[in-house]
Amino acid sequence: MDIQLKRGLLDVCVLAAIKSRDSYGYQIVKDIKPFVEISESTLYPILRRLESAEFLTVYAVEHNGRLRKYYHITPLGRKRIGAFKEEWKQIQSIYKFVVREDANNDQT
Amino acid sequence: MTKHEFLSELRQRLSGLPEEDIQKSVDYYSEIIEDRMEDGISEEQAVEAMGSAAKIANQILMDTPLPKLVKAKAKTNRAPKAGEIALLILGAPLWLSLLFAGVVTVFAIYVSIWAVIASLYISVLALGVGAVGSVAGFVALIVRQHFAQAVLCLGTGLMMAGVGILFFFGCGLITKGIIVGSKKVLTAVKSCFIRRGKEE
Repeated sequence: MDIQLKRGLLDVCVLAAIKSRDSYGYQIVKDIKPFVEISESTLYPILRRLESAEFLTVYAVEHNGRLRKYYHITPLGRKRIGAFKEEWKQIQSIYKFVVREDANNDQT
Repeated sequence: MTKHEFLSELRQRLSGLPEEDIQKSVDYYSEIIEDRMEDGISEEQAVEAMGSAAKIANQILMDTPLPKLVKAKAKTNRAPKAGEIALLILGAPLWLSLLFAGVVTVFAIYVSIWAVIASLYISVLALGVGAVGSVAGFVALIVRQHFAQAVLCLGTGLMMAGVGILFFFGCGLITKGIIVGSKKVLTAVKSCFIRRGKEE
């Protein structure tokens, strides 16, 4: 997949993973993995980017005598998911157009 | 490799970045390894799953903005010795002027690149104006009944228009090329800093 496209999609995937409840690094990777290929080292720059864009906030919680960082989605982050859904509608209509062209070519 | 070894290697490879940034990265990978181990994976395997610390450090440095990287590089050269300071001050007339020349040269190259682009667009504009002018000249000459000159004038005008249009598309491509090129140069400069950072 195109790198830029995948990067944008992963951003939204991470936001979606913390949409309904706050989550932590390892859990986010586990949640996304069945859908997109992602590793912990790919997740790290994404989290940093989303944090500096104020799409999420970070707080630490004590867990088994150590600190675990939880990520919480901001209203801006939710807006980003909404914008993605809108974008996706446009992409779908483009996809339909591309596929229709294919069908025409196959017939002739 | 144990978790401790992995994290200290990562820390060492990031040395020079602001302590806060290093701590953030180390905390993140420490947390991931601990979470994996809690999931029932041995320490060895959990560390192995992270991949190489060198690769991770490189990626973090690549994502760091260039000014921070330059600062980091300057910081890794620990406190200079007295002799070095003396040399630095005594050599100031030499290295200051060299540094100044270097900065000015880079700036000049940058400006000249953009000047080339600007001049291309100005030529296009000039050709366009010329074409319009020639058409006006054609009309004026027809009115005065100098037919041969009128045709020459129109021909020149059409040629200018044609060359102008070709130039215009060429300009677009050249501008794009220069933008892509300067991005590549930036990446190259960044990786240069990263490689040098590793040697220390």
